[in-house]
Amino acid sequence: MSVALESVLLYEGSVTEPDRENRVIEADDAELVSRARTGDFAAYEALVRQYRNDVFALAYHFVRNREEAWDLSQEVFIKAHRALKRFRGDASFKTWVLRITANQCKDFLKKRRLKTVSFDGSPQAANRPSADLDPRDRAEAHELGQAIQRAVDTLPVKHRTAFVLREIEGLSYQEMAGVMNCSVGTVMSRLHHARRKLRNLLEKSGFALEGTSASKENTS
Amino acid sequence: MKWQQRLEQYRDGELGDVDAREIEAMLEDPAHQAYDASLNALGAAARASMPRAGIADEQLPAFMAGIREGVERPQRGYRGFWALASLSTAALIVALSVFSVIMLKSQDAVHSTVEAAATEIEGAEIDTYVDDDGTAVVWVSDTGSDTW
Repeated sequence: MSVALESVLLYEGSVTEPDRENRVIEADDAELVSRARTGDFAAYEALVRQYRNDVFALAYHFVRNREEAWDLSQEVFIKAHRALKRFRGDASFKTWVLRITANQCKDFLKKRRLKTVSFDGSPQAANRPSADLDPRDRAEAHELGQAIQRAVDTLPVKHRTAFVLREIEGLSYQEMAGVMNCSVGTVMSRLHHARRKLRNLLEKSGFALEGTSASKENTS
Repeated sequence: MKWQQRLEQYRDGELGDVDAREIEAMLEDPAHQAYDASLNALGAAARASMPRAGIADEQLPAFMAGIREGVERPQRGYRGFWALASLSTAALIVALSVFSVIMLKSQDAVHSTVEAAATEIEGAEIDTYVDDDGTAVVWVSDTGSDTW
């Protein structure tokens, strides 16, 4: 009864459905964090269950290897558990744990000195053109996918993070600012630079970005 | 660059209704249209070629087991580091002290010579000798008070 009352009190004025949903999620997360701090591991497990894919997806975009992304994700949640007492709640738990993920990935890449990451070809990561395409289109789509991945890998970490968080993970600018620990203005700048560089790289590779799709330009 | 960033904000859903009307007017320009289209194409191509990897529900127990193990593992704290550093420093000081004592002891003793000895006690005798270590010994005996 008291939990339901707390949820109702969060609805102030007129809010859109996504806002309402986000606020409920944040209220639930706050309660889980509070319980996890007292040693309730089941509460922490609920948080892990909720956000494991967000963390894993972001880690995977950096390391392009399932095993390494798995290890990194576990390290993130271990670190987050140890730092729970320092979580102030001014950002959402999701933003906070993604920030830890981004920092962990940055450190990992520094240690590994990864400048380019080879495509690991694992089933879940493979750029699998649709089976509906004819063989030529499928080959072209595969080539484009590889070109985009190579291009993204050449971006500086900050720009790569901005591009992935926006285009793949669909975070808002505000959420991205929380994850990258910078201002919204900086987020916009990094995103702009990432897009501009990617466009230039793809055009140099012979891919035209026009209409609603990208395609290889005929050079013959 | 400013208009490009405005278009990006619009595409990313970060502009309010008032600004969106300004953007729609901007999009009547063919160059702006082309840029907007390229933004769409880049985003779509990236999402198609970089699918979102995840951890399936059946993998979750194994994932959680690793986290639990990490959480329960005792953390190597900085306190341990400082204790070790203090102990090492203390051991080093002791070792240096012992070393210096050993080195000093092995030095050759300085031999001393008694050049003169005198006493104001009437009837007393003074004798001196220097032992093997170079230590000079002086003793004064009052033979008058001896009892036989």
